[in-house]
Amino acid sequence: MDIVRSTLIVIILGLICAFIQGALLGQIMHVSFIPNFLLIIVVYLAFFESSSLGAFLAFVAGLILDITSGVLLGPWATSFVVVFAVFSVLSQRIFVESFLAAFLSVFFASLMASGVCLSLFYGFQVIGPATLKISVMQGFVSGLLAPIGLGFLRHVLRGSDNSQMSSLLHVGIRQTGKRL
Amino acid sequence: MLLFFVGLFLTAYSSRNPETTRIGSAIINQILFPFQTASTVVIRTTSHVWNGYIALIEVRKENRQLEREVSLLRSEVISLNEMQQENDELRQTLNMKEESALDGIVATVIGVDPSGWVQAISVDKGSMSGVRVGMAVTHAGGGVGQVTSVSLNSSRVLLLTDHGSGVDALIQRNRVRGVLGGRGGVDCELKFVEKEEDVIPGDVVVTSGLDMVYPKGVYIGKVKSVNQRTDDLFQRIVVEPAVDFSRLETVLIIIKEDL
Repeated sequence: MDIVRSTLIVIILGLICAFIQGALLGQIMHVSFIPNFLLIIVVYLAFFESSSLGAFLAFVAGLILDITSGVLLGPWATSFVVVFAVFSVLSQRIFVESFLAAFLSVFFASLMASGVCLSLFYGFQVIGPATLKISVMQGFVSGLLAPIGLGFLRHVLRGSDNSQMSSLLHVGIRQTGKRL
Repeated sequence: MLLFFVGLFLTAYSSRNPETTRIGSAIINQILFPFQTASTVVIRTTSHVWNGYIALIEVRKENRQLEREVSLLRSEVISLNEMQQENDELRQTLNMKEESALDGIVATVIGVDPSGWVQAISVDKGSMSGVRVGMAVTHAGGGVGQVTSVSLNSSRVLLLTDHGSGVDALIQRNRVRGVLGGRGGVDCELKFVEKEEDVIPGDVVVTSGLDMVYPKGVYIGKVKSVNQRTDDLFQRIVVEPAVDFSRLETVLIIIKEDL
């Protein structure tokens, strides 16, 4: 994907996700049960995109969440970059096409992103039992939607070209002929 | 690595220059405003149809209870009217200037913070309606928060329960002062109250008016618990807000001309 098209797609998807999370789901359900769709986009980027472009797009996705929050610029952008870095390393080891791998990836990514973001917002003083409970619930709900989200993103961002539908690990297996 | 440090730099910069975030937030909120308003209308209509016609659960029982409450409130109103009249006469006698009633803009809640970690709401009134950054926001039940960013047709309100919120408040009973801050959940905390001060659960907390944001005497909530740890200089006072923020539909933005 070229950089301009990718950035535009991420910005549009980011705004749609912010709208769904804030205006739609935020008025219907408790914050614990609102999935972080932007985080699913970041996990997708970590598994399916190259490191420099993917990192930039993860940064942009975080920036959109920062701007819609309207408090500080940078916490979500930084946390998404950290999540991207960690999971792009793990992408060589995880077969994300399976439901369990997708769920666990997004679950732990959510915990990591929340931890980094909250520590930048308020310092470590706010990470108490209530905060942990909300983090775990949000991660769980986001993880449940991860397989659907990742599949949708693959279809939208990669099109119907089957050779590009696989994660980097899957491509690696096909090229070397052996599972890592 | 570079992006990580750029993110840290942005965080530090925007914490010292909050206008940076406000401008971007105002633009994004303006773009999302029509969709937020439309979705709010659909959600509220569906909710009203469901609650009003389909899910008539214990309506009759609730109706009887409400009738009893109304008759109690009626008698309270009558005695309060008596007190108000007496108050008016005393003020006239002493030639005191009356405080004017709160002047404000009614706004509808159209969204919440999408990240879920900032306790903030979006409302459907912006600079075109006279809203400015820093204005206090209340509800019929009590204080709600403060306007932190404004676009043409919508505004962002930081709730009292957010960690970044701070209101100068006092205990109505004995005028003990403190700063009310959020805890990131459903409760607030009254900070910087010394251990010698007399605070008990059930005490009413109101605004002091000294921070020049909220008018004096706005009801905030009640003291839920008091903890006097020996290693702290101050008491740990948890305050339960009067307003249920999860059910907010409309708010009043208090107009202040000198902002």
